[in-house]
Amino acid sequence: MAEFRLLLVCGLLMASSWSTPLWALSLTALRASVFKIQVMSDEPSLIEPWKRMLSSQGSGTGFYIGDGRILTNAHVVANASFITIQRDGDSTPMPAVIRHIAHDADLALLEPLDDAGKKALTELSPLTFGALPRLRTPVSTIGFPLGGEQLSVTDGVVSRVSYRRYVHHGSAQHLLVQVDSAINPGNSGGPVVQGNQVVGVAFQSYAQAENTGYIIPTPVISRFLRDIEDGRYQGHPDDGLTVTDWAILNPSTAAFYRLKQGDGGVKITHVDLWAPTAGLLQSGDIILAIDGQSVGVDGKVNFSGERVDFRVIFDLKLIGDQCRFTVLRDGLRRDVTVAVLPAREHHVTGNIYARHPRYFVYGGLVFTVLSRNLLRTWGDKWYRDAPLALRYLDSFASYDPEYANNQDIIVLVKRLPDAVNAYATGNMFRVVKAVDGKRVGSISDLISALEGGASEYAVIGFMGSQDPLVLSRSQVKARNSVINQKYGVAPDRWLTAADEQPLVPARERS
Amino acid sequence: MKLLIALLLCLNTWIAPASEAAVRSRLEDQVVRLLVTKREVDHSAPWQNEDVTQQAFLAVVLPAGELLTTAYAVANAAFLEIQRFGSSHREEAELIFVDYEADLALVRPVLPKVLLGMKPLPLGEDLPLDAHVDIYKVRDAYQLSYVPGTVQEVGVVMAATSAYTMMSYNLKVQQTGLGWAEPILAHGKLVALTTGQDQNFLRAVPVSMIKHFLNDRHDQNYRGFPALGVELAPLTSPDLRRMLHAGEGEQGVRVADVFAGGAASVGASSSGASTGDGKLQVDDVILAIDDQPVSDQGYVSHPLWGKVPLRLLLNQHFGGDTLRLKILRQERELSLVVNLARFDSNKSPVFAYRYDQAEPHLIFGGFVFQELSQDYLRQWGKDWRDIAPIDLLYLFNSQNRPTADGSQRIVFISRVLADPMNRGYSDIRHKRVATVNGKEVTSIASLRALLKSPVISDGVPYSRIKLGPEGDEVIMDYQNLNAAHSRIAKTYEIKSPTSFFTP
Repeated sequence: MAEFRLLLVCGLLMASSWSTPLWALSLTALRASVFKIQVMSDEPSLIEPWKRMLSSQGSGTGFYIGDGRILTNAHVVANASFITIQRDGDSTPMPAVIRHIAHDADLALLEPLDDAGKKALTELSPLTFGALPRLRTPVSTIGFPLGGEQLSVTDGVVSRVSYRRYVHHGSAQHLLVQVDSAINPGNSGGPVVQGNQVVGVAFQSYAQAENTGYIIPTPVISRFLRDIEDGRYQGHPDDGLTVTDWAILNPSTAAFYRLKQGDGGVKITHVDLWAPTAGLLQSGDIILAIDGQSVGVDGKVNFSGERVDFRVIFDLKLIGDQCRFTVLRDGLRRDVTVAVLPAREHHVTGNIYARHPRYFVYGGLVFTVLSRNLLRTWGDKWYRDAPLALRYLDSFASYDPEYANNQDIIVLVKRLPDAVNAYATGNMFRVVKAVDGKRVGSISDLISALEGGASEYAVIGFMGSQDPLVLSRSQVKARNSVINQKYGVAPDRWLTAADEQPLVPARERS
Repeated sequence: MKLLIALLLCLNTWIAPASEAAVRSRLEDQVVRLLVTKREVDHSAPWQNEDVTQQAFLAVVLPAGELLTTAYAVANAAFLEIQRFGSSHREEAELIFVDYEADLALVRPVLPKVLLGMKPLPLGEDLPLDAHVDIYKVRDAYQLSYVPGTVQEVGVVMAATSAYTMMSYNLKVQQTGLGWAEPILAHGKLVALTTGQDQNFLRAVPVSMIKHFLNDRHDQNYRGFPALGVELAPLTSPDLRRMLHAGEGEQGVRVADVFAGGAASVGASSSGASTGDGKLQVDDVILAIDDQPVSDQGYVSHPLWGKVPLRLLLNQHFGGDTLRLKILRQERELSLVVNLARFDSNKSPVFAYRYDQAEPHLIFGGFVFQELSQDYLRQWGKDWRDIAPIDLLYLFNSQNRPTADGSQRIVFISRVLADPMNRGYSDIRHKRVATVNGKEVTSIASLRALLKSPVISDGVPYSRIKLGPEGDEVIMDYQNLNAAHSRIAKTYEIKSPTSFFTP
């Protein structure tokens, strides 16, 4: 539960209305390259996923990093339908588009839409990046927080370097740095500087503590910039490992593995089936080192002078890199080299950012995929109000042999009433397990099972229920187009990957 | 004028009609207060008890000096006292008989003379819907007062003390604070006993169930209340009906699941011209039960109440009775006779109740192992079904089908009593135990046995305890176990040596 609480108290820093006053600023050189970003956005509907919900507007901060690119947070521009950027002191906002977006790392690169804007950028001096800031060193956060229109600068001190959840994604964890200065809505995407170098991007805060802000540090930013060098963003790799920290601290357990005090290491408890480590590492292995760096019993390694979770090493790799794990298995120390490949498509606990979540409408029944956004339709207290099966799979799908291999967790979210589905009401918000007795692990499986089945009756079985839903295929076929037309369902399916790159919205609409 | 109306209203409320006053005064010789001192196991530290509490209930005088109350009243009772109305004396009482499944119990005073001059309250008959009744509650220690109520509906609800679905009235009343075994009367006779209250709806067990309990108890063998051992699902969907060849009408309910060891799975003989093995199967359609047609939602017709759930009909039977069923199986109509078995809530892996008993647990190296129970989950308060740990709730909801012999339990580590022995593992909480030394754990007893067969590595005995759902594993040797247990017993003041594993 502690994990959930963490999510709940972390607020994203995107302002939901326009801002006002300012403070004087000595960092003249830097401020010239900082932009206020204003965004109109519309979000996909989770329950009627063929629709998008009406626009909202928000603002954040971004900064010029050269090559015509402005860096900001993904959450500032996610689901954007229209983006403008405005330099501090300039009178006119310029329309902009997303060039790359990394929802897992909460980073995005924008560029001006038109040539005039592009030209204007060439006159700016790009901000440059420094190293991971050391503990207790001072930093300044530059941005356009709520409460004023002009640029604001706040000073603080680096108070922690850790590996924690990025709220925008919902479950991905990466390196982050905690600072003790006030970071407020609107600061999102703004540079955090030390001297004249950027050491991070402000992105989230801890709502229940005052003056606690989090910044995305340079190792994560530079990984993003290297990732997109080939023109596409592939994302952080997922090691798919669950480990028990501290087990080796236990004298019995250490002795069982013939480890001496001080040997360190963490024990693997589970390897996800879809992970690049699957088949190479296994449950019971003790990870002693990663890329030659010793892993302590607390699961931490030395990283740029700080002690951080060993996973940071793997997490910062690019697809195609290699990672060397030194493990103890069957009493023998061995090196296992893992090729850092993209994970096989699988259900990811987290938020979906896509034009539409995957879905399929069959006989007026709306099937879509489990995600954090879907759970949030139960409100702020979704972690207690959402149906138990959905909450269970959100936490444990990858450990449950029945669902570990699913590409999607399929949920029946709505009935568009019609005679063919009149008896489906009791199955709302249940998880689809099988069709005609055959397991379905994705929306595409579901479509082929329902549309391709030869028998007259389609029998849809649900998780934890002995009461299947039976539909007449011939009647559904006869009614489908009538139902879809009546309720405005178009298209009746959406299969694009959950992590698709969003379209370039401004260009499409202008 | 306003004052006068107020006065009239006031008088009206506390001067009851003469006949009611007479009933009440007579009733004060037919009902006693039952004062219960309760001592419940501390489910988060099962080697000790919660603080002692006291609760007051009512009990109805029956012939032969017996007193009727609810099982809830006597559950976890350490000490019982009765007090007659108009008297300040409290007399010790004892439990004679209890059926937790049905939420009914019998007690009596230790000294029979305590009831001298008291009269048994006659038992009435079941009431039709909308009938007006009088509910008698304690006004103060010396008097009864009366609350009018109306029978709003009759159905089946889970008994307060078990997982049995039991016939129950839902009464509309204008008062809260009821549900403590208050007698409900019509025409001066007992027609129901209250069992609980949600806002303005009062639940009460009808007198026919009380008679069932009392008559059964006066036989040599108590046979109890039965169940069919199946899960039923509505057969309303025309598509599902066509698939099961159940016809166009609205008759017949679908068998969705058949529980091991239940009546429907054990079966009896088939009868008449039909064939069949006397067992129900998934997708059978139950058309009639004891010649009563069953509707597509599992309702049958009752002479007094009209449409009632089929399970209400089962409440009228006894464990060991036979039941005639007409079913439809793969287009054929069959007649079946099934033996009904007495229902036992605790045949499901998650313990439904364990009153007046020690809670099975075992401490091994500071790890506290327990068997998952509803009482454990209830520690999360009234919203426990939403906020208890997700994995345990999921087990409760999905892994809780009754098993054949009812011995299967879910064992979990509730907490770790921190000690140098369990360094590194002290954060473990609410984790189910999957295996110990590679073998499945099905109860605290089986855990104890498995821990006695450790794996040997380098000549040292170890136990490997695998936890779910993530698959964490605890590895502990036995070398310093006794010393650790002495330390833990001292630090955490655990006085029962049987709480600890002994190699």
